[in-house]
Parts: sequence; structure tokens; C-alpha cells
Amino acid sequence: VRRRPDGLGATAVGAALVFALAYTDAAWESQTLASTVVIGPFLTALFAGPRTTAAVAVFAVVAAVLSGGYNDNYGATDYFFRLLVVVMGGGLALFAARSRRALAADRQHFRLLRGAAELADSDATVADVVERAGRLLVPAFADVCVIDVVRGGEAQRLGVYAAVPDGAAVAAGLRRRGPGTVAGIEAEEARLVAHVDEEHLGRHARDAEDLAFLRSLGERSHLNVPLASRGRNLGTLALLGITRAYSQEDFRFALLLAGRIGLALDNAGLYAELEAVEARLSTALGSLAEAVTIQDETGRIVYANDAAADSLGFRASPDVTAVTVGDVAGRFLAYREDGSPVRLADLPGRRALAGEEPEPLLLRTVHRETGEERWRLVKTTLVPGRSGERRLAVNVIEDVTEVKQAELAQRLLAEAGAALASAPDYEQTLARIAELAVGRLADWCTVSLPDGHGRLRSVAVAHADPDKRAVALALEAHNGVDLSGDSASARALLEVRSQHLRGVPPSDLRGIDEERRAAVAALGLREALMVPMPVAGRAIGIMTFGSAESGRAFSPADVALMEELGRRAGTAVENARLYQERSHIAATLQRGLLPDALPSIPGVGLASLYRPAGAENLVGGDFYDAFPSSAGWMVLIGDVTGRGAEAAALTGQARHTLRTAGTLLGRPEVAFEQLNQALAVRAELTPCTVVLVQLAPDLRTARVLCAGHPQPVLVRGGEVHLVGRFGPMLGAWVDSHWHAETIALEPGDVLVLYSDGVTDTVGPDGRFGEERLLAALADAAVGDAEAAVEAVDRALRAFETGEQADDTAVLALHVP
Amino acid sequence: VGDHQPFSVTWHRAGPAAVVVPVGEVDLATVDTLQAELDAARSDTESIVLDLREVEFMDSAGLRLVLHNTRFPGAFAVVRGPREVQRLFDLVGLGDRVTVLETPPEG
Repeated sequence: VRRRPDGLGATAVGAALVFALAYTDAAWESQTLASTVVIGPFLTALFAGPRTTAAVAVFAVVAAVLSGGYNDNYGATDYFFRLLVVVMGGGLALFAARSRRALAADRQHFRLLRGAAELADSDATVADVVERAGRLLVPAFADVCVIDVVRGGEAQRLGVYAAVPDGAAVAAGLRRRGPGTVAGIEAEEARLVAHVDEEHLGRHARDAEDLAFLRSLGERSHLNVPLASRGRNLGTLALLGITRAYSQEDFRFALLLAGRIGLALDNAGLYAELEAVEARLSTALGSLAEAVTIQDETGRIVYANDAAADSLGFRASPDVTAVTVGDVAGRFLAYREDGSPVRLADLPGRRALAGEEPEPLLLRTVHRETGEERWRLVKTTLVPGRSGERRLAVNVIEDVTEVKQAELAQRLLAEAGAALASAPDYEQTLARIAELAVGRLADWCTVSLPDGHGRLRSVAVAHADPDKRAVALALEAHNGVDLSGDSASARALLEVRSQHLRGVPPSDLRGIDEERRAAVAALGLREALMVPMPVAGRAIGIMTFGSAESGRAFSPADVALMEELGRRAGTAVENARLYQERSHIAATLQRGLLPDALPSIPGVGLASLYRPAGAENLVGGDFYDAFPSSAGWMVLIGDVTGRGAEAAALTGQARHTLRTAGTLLGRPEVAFEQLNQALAVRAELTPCTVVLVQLAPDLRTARVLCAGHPQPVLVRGGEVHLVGRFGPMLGAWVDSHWHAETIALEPGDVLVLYSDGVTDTVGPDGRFGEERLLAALADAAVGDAEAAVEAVDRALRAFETGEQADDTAVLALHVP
Repeated sequence: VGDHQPFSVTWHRAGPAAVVVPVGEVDLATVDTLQAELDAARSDTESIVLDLREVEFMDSAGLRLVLHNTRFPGAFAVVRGPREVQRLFDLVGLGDRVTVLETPPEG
């Protein structure tokens, strides 16, 4: 930087100093102008620039030259020696002054550079950067500085700084001129105008008035440098030298400074953009329905949106950011879907920060204080952070409670439905339903039914507790509750309305005696819900759901689900009762198909075997009977095709018709025709087969009639014969007729009647069949009716495999 | 049942008639399947031939099925089955009431 010589005064001071030194010297030594004057330039160099020093040195040399006249020693060695000392001293002073100036300039540059560097390192805004740059450059490096910046797509004159007399007016004038164009700024190239002349001013003036203004600035030198960063011009810096002129060196230095300022502007712009993005992001996160939290590596929550605060049970989001993940987690009991507890280290945020890539985690949380149950899906994304910055985990916590509860409810009801449909034993069914509820809805569940003596009886109990101690307690708490007392259990049953007991210990334990109260206390009961099992407007029992160690509170959705379970259980119990009732009816019907006891026929031995098809309580269609008629005793076996209650009813009808017609008319053919007509007119095809033996009163002969039925076997003296002839089955055709075969009877004869259940019995080698039956009767020493029946039974038992598929009936007659 | 083959039933057209071929045992456990196949064949044509040659066993439920199928408007015939089956027919009087063919019709 070259300043205009204010050095004139300094030169005068220096010259006066030299003169004063010479005068003092002369006065002191009285004859010589000593080399003392050489001190003048040195002293000058201390406070003035090289020019002044040079001027003072020249003055000192002139004084030294002139001293020859004063001392009158021109040409003398002494004269030349003194002159030489002054000349060399002046040269050294000049060198020192120059060095000092260079050093000062370096210091100035260093100060400017440091200032510019600080600009770039701060978090300042664009306006801050411009302001600081202006203060830094004026007046240290320029008399006037103008900064234009491109911001938001337009050029702005952000800073004008002037350190000249009347600076405010100058600044106002420059501001008025306005910024350059965006295109102009972006295309700006650095230039140095070392000497501002008329031509330069004329080129830049917009009009005559502007030219006059530019002229009034008295500018000597001008620097124009772009403020660039990342290859892009962000603005321009104009430096006006009025008291100074710029050199090439200054130009290069200005470029350096401009680079720094450009960088600072860029950072400031980015920072502003970041702030804008952050503001937008924060607004967006704030309006999200999903809870979002951001945690750092220390576990501190650095951000939580409103939804997160709400979901985690905080009043406002700042409350959440005051705590750690551990603090938040501590408010809840957390379980996986399978019921296993979740530790802090299992949370996706922790795992992500530990370098894993965690899957989203589905959590069931129970608030420790309120007992509120929520299902949450936690997804975590790791934000790596730039080098040296903290890594963050962003957790998105979706509340899936409704979906999950609906899903669980549906599954539970489906499983309950399957359980209800499968087991005919309702106590087993209720136990299964209680088990289903445990773990998903409640910690334990009991089902109690009235015992018929004014007390409740627990018929099913389920508890998650493996050591079963709590099972006993739960049972004790419910079994035998007096229904005439004012207890919640009694109200649930009698008023057919759910009773919800809350609080620890639960409120309203009225009607519970001391003993049960102790059991309730030992259970650690938190809540209990008693739901009725309604059937047609009244409750047939109650289900009690208890919450204890899980700490959960029953939500309205839970209550609705439990009530639904109660309804279904009620229906199941009712169905089971109807089923058992129906079984009872079927059994009664079955007995009706057969005579209570076979009558005794005078002179004839009679034995029977009846094995109804087991498993299902469908009433089989086999029947037998024996009754007297005017034409002798009739003995018969029949089989109605088909099963179930309808077959049973028909069987009853068939037996009744045959007995009535046979007894009254004494002619089996007519009885057959009677039954055939009755069956054939039915819309539904209901064929029936019968074999009937009519014993002559003297027992010497018998008439055998077959209606589509297997022929009877006559066992005589160890030999077997099939007797009777085939006739059409009953109920198939209206025009059927039957003809009896009369056989002679001999003493010792055994006649065996049987149903097709015997021959159709399944064994390892197919069906039992007629041949095996005949063999069984032939091999055995069949002496009487009992022995014949026993032989058949034994052979069947030995043969059959698996479950009996059809009714089996055998009837044997023995004529002694 | 032991090494008996499981029940199966098919049907095919043979000229104007549909031939329904049960294989295995026709009893309470299989009559519904067989009846369903007969109904399917009947939806194609009214003339039905029940081929009993592959029937190993028939019980009263099977007899009832045959009887039931004689009651439809179209023609109904059976192809004579094994001796035991035919004997059952005779026993209940079906042999006289149902048309028994020695071989199935050919299409």
C-alpha cells in the first residue's frame, strides 16, 4: 500500500532533527559537524517511511557536505571520512526504514488474512459475513468497499463501507447506484485498475450526474474481485483506493481475501438453507401421526415430536428430550409378540447404534402406572453423521394397537370357535377357552357355574403361572361364592352384566369372605372382570378374567372381547347340554326299540345279543321282538336302513306295526303287507328288512318269512342250514308279497336269527360273512340258545377290528 | 379295511347312457360319494347304468341307494356284480325289480 506523502511533515521533522543534531554537535565540539547527524535518518526511520527517511538522509548528507565549509576542512581526510560515515549511515537508515515498512505490511496482511479466515469458520449469516468483511477491509485495505451478493436468485448490494471524509454521503451515493446484475456478478472477473483515469470513469459512469459523482470520489486505484466458492460467483467485492494505490501484489492479496470471504458467504448460505430445511423438517415431523424420536449414542433423546410425547405419556415434546431412552423405557413393561420380555439393548435404536441393522420390532407395552396396553412397531434408521459428529438413531414408533388388538381378538375368537366346535365335553371346552384367554387377555381365567345349591362352582381355571400355586388361589377365590350375597360374581351372574373391578387391591370386594379375600390378596390382583355367559337372556355361568403380574389394565376393547368369549362359552355350554340331552333321548329311544326283557315262551329257550353301533349316539335301526298270537309265538329281527333319530322313529313304528298286526291277525304275511304299505307311501325311501319265525303252538313246525333279510340258520345235530326263502324288502315296492316256508322242528334244534350287522362286521380279511357265521355255529357245541348267541359273539369279537360300524342283533331259539 | 382298495367312483358316457363305475365297497361310508356321482351323471343324461362289477361289498345302505335310483324318471339298470352282491339283490327282491345287464353298453 502506498500512501500519499504525509511524509512532508515527517521529512521536515527529520531535517530539523538533523539540523538540531549538527547544531548541538557544533556547539559542543565547537569545530566539527560530527557524524552525529547520521543519527537523524535512523531516528526518522523509526517513525516514518522509507521516503521520509531517504529525504532526511539526503538532508544529512547535504549537511555533511556543507560541514566542510563550517569546519574548513574540505579535502581533508577527516572531511571525507565524516562524509562517508553520513552517506553510509543514511543508506543503512533507508534500508532499515524499508525493512520496517515491509514488516508492517506483512503484519497488516496477516491480520487481514486471520480476520478473513475467522469469517469462514463462524456460523454467521450472509449479512453477518458481509458486515464483518467490510469492517475488516475498511480502512485497513481500502478506503471504500462495496459488496454485492447474489441471494435467492437476485443481486443485492449488501455492504457499502467508506472511511473517507463525508463517508456517509459517499456510502449513500454508492448504495443508490445499486448492485450489478446477477449475470454480471456471475461473469465477473478479477481486475486491477492501478490508475483510475477519466477514461475509466467515463466507461463506468451511467450518466453525467453519475460521472460527476464518480469524479467526486477522487479514486486513484481500483480493485474488483469476485467472491467465489465451489466454482461459482456468489458476489463481488469492489475496493476503492483514494488515499492509496494498489499494486499487483495488492491485487493478488485481494484475490486471496476474496476467496476467504466467498467461502464464508457460501457456508453462511448453506447454514441458512440448513436452518430452513431443519425448520421445514421439524414442522413436518411435528404434524406426523407417527411418533418420531431421535436418540444419540449416549442414549439421550435429542428430538421427539408431539406424537411421540403423547404416545410415551409425556405432556410435551421438550419433556421427552430432557430424558434418556432408558428413562422412557422404564415407564413401561415391554414384551414381544410371543410374550418374552424386551430388554433395553433389544430396542432397534440401541442395536442400530451398536452397528447392527435391526428389523422393525413389534412391542406390546404396558404402562407401569396406568396399566394401559399398547402395541407399537418400532423402526429405526441410523443417521451416520459426518466425520467427528455424533451418530443418531431415528426411531419411528407406529401405534398399531387397534390393528393388533383386532387381529388378536379375531384369532382368539377363531380359536375359541374351533375349541367350542370340537369337544362335546363342555368342561373340557371351557378349560380350553380359559387357556386361550390366559396370556393374551389376562393372567388367569376361571369359569364358574352355579352348583344348583346357591353357590358357584369353578369348572375351569387357567393361569400363566407354571408352578400352579396361583391356579389354586384363583380357584379358591371363586369356588363356592354364595350367590345370595352381594358379590361382583353374584351380580355378574344374576344381573347378566359384566362387573369390572379396578384398583390395587380391586375396589368392591364386597360379598367376599375373609378367606377368599386373602386368596385375592395373594394373587396380587390388579383388575378383575367378571362376564356373564348368557343364553336366552339369562346367565348360565360367569367367566372371570384377572390381571396381576402383567400389570395390564383391561381396555374397553379387551372388555368387549371378554364379553364375547363369555357369550360364546355360554352358547357352547348350552349346546353341550342340548347334546347330552339329545344323547339321553337317543338312549331312551334305543331302549324303546327293544323289549324291556325277552318274554319267556313256554317250552322254548330264547337268548339275544344286541350291540348298537357305538361312538356317535345315533340311534341304530336294528330291532327284535317276541310276542304271542292266536297262531303261536312270533319271533322277529328287523333292520331299518338309515341311522339317526328318524331311523329310530321308523324302527319304533315298524316294530309296533308288526307286533300289533301280528298279534291281532295271527298272520305274519298280512303284518308284512301292513308295514310295507305304511313305509312305501312315505315320500322318503325307507326300506326295512325283517325275518320272522312263527312257531306252531305245538312247537313241531315253524313258518319262516324273509323280507329282504338274511335267512335264519338252523343248527341241528352239529350241522347248519339256511332256512326260509327270499322275499322283497319292506317299504320298497307297494305290490310286494311274501310267502312263508314251513319247516319241521326236532328236539334240540336251535334257530338263529341275525341282522346284517353280523355278516358285515369288518375284520382283517374283509367282512365276517355268512360262511364264518355258519362255521362258528357248526364248530361250537351249540346245545341251547345261550350257547348259540355266545358262539356268535365270541366269533365276532375275535374277528372284528376297529370300531363297530353297524348295529348287531342276534336272536336264538332253542326247542328242547 | 385291511388291504382293500379305497373306494373310488367315475362315470362316462356310452351312447345315450351314462355308465357310473364304483370301485371298492359300497356301504354307509361311501354311499354319499356314489350318489353324488350318480347325480352328476344324471345331470348329463337321464339314462343311467350302474356298473357293479368292481364292487367288492355292498350293505343295506348300498341297496337303499340302488332302490333310490330306480325311482328317477329315466332308465336305470345295473351291470351284474360279483356273486355276493347279486345274492344281496336277490335276498331283498331287487333282482326282480331292477334291470340287470351282463355287460355295460358300449359307446
